[in-house]
Amino acid sequence: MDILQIEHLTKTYGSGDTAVRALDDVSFSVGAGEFVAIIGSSGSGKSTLLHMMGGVDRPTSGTVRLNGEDVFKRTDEQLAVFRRREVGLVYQFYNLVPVLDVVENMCLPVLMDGRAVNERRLTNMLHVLGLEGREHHLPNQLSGGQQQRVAIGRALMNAPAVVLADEPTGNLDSRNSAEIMRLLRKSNKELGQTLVVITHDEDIALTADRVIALEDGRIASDTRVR
Amino acid sequence: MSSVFVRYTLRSLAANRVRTAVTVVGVALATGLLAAVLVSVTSLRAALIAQSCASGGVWQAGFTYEDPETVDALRAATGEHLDRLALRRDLGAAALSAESAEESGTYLGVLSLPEEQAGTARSAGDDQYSLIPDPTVAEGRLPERAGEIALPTYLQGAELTAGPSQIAGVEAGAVSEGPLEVGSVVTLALGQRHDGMDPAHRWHSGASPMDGETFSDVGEPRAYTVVGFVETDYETGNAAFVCYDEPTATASGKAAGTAYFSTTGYASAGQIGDAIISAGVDSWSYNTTLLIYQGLDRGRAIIDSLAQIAAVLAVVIMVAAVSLISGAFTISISERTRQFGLLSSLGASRRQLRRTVLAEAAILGLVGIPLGLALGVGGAAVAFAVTADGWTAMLRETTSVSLVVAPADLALAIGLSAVTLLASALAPALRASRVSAVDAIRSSADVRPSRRLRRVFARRRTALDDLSADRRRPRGLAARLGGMPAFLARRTLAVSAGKQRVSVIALAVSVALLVTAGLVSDYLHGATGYIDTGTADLRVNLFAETDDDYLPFGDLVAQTNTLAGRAEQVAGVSETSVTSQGSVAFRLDAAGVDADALETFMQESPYGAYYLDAAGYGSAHLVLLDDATWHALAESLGLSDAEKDPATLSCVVLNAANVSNDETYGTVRPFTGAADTIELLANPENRASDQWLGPAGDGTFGLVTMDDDTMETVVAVPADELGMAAVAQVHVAAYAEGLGDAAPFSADDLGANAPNVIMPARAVAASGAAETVRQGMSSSTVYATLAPGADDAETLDALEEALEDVADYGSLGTYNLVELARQSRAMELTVNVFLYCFVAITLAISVANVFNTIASGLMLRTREFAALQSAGMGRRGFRRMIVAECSDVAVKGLVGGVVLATLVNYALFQAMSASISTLVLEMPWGHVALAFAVVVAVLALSAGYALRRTHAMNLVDALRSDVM
Repeated sequence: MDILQIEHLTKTYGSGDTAVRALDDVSFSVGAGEFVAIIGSSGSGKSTLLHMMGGVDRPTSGTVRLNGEDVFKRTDEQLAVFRRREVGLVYQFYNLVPVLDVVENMCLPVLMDGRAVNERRLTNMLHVLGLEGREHHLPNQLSGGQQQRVAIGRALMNAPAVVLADEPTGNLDSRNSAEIMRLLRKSNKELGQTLVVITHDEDIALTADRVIALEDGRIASDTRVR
Repeated sequence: MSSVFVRYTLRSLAANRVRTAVTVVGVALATGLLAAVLVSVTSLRAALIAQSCASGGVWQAGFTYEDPETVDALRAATGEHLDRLALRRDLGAAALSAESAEESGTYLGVLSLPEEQAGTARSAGDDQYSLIPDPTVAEGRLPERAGEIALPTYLQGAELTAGPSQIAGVEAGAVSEGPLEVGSVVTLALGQRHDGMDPAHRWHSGASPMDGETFSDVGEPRAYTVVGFVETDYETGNAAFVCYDEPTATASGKAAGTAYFSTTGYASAGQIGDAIISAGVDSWSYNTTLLIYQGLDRGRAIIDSLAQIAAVLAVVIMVAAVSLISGAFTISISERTRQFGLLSSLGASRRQLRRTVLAEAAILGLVGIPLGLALGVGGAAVAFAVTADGWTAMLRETTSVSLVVAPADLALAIGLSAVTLLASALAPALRASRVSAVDAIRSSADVRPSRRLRRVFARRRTALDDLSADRRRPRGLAARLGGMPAFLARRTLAVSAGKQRVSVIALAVSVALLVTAGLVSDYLHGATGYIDTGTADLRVNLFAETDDDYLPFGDLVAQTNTLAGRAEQVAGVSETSVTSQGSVAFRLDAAGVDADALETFMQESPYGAYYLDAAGYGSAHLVLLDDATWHALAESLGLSDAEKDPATLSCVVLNAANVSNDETYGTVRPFTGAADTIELLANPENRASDQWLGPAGDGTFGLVTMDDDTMETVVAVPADELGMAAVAQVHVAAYAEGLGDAAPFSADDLGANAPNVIMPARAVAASGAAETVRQGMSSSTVYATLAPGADDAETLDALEEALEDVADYGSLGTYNLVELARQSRAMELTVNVFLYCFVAITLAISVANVFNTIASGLMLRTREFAALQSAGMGRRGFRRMIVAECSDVAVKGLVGGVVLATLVNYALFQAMSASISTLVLEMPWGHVALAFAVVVAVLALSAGYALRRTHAMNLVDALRSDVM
């Protein structure tokens, strides 16, 4: 069953002569529990696509459906709720809230939703992410790898159906990269979460179920690896 | 090489147009305010000096000499310091006949006009005023050649007779042919007056003889032609003037003189005095007022307090400006931390980085400082133009304050502004130069947990310690009360306390300033409000020639009617009231007297005891009103119809006595109100010449006398033994604490240390007390209100003319109450204009400060906000978070401001209490509310602007942005 359906997605920045088409009529579907890698050169529209899927940015035209429901039919306020409940986002630059400690950052989407934090899940996650003993550190007291693990923790805390990661290892060394990917893969496997990862790293792409290559805002290839 | 950094700086400034503009405005405002304060102080000082120079001349010191060689000694002693020198010869004095002395004094002194001595250097601009002004001519002209004389005005029309003088064995030496007028000839035999104790010490002028003085060396009589009459003044006494070349006429041919001189290059009055001493002179006088204004002498100097005020204001301005500008720099630097790191990694030296920031300051200064100078000087010019009337009123002269723009002031303003800029930029510049490449590139944000937060985290053990018991909220009060937005706001404030403090201090200072401005204005309004003039616009006082010959008409009512009739005829007068004042002895029941209040009065008042004792005996300051005025007063006090009738013998007792001395101001209520009637008493008979009716030192009322040994007032005959017959029983219609708006006069116009009793003149004239009251009367007053459109000064002149020949009044005084009120309003306006200009500009600086810190602070957090949004925070929650943060700053700023303002209020209250003892300490909640409104508006504006800017930025761009 397809959990994500992207149909005729177009995003234009600017207007007139200076208009840039970041995405040009992109359509594809992602099945539940699938691990998709999106690759492409800089400026090919990878990040734009991911932000549309995550409800962070609105498309110029086209739709994104999650579980058959049009994401952009929602108001901005509903979109915020969508982001905190339905998807987990991981960025290259971590984007942690600098004034919150590790636990607070991780629990942020749950708390903003007014729901109770699942204690077992939290403890387990801290253990799995190797953040035990760092619970009450602020982001700038952590290394890059640790910060990215907190960002992953934040994305997974709500057990979202879809996890979207934009070059999650782009800032990390190979050992940390492998660790981050292992964590994402593990979550994908064990919880049946759908995982979409943008990457430059060929090794990472090769671990995915499917690799979509973007070029100039269009899909150049869509390859099922396994 | 450095041009790269300058270009880089210019680009950074251009990239943050709004903040750059706000900072430039801040620099301009600070410079402008500094320039305005300095220029204003210099202008005021110049006006004060001009006033002093115009009225008293530019002499700094003067001394009398017997021998012209003393003047040469002074020239030698002062050397090149001597600027100008004028001599005035003292030709001696002539004795008047005993008959003429009755009116015109024992002597007529003769001085020469001062003559400036050539051959001395002159400092530039100094010669626009005379060294010592010539006397003011009232009629005719000043003497121009020998044999001419100008007499003091009091001799105008007088006849100087021959005969023995008041000095034993001396015949009159001043004789005129008929009454003196321009063209008359007066013959004077001039001699020398000497101090009896110290014959070397001469009295050079004045009409009255001193104890023990001697008069000798009288020369031959000489005839002088009277060419004019001059006003007398304090400096020259009651002297006549001849020209400087007039030959000496004393028997010995000696004439003394007074030398007046000014100097340059001395640092203090003391140095001038030393020079005089070394010239062999042991007694001299200073032109103290001028020396104070010139800064050569201290004392209770206006100039000193002006300088102090200027210094205080300059410090306040500089503190506010440093807070604003350094805030802007700090934000500008932290915004570019990564850029600086990058530059550093590319090989920029620390010095180059520091210079980048200092270059930024220099560019801001190059634009802001000239702008500020123009603003400040222009603003001061406008402020002085608007308040010209007020200054003229305050300086009590026709001198007006014109703008004086001294290059030194402008240079000082520029210097102080530059120092302010440098002080603001230095710390940020140092910080910028310390940014290491690694730090900058790594730094996720400029966030360091505060010590408090570190302690909080240190206490938390398990992961769950971050959460509330139900795991639905973060731990803490803010989250429980306001949910996630409040929690995030609270945490942000806890982490970046230092940055917030800048905003809080800026807010607190501006709130305090605004409240203080309101307070000072209130106090000033209160102070000027004490000038209560009643409802009348014009007042003419008519005084009896001597105590005994008052009321030549013999009838109070006729007198009143005559005055009122004359006054009403005057064009421009719409309504008139006529009152007559005097004193009368009275008695009331002892129960009607508040002995404690009398005790307070005796202790607090500088005038000693009140004219009323605990037994009920006293002397009243009686005010008799015409029919209409009595009726209006009775109406306003709510008296009965019978009491309103001016034919009914009743009175209003003013139950308020001011206890004012140099330090305090207050009011006591001497009457309890228990006595329904007062008895007017006949004057005591058989009074000795050294006895009078009044209170003794212990407060007892009676016939009192001065004890020659103790110099205390003691009772000679107690009041109850004087046998003063009751001449009338007067019903007390009311004990009034004030006169309200109906009376043409105010309570302040009445007697200060005697009970004020107001009665209708008609009833008094018809009563048995008429003769007693008549004997006690001393003056009448005509009050007039102006008809619409009438000119107050012209009407007052006409009124004076109409009343002048009503009767043989000894003297007549006119008061333009409209003008007095106008002057007091003009003074208030003047003070308010300067006060509010200052506050407005300081407020503008504070507003710019708050805007810069709040707006820039929020804009710096763009990426953090984006992270929150991508993690699912909605617009509403976001807005609530920002509102919570800003409210926190607002509340702290307001609380700090109110605390600060309360301290200032208390200090002001203390200062004012020294002069007004009945003042009540009150917090001006109106001003506080206004300040609060301003604070909220500024915050809302700043936050609104910042959020619009952050939202304008694409969320995606924000998330990706690698520039912190």
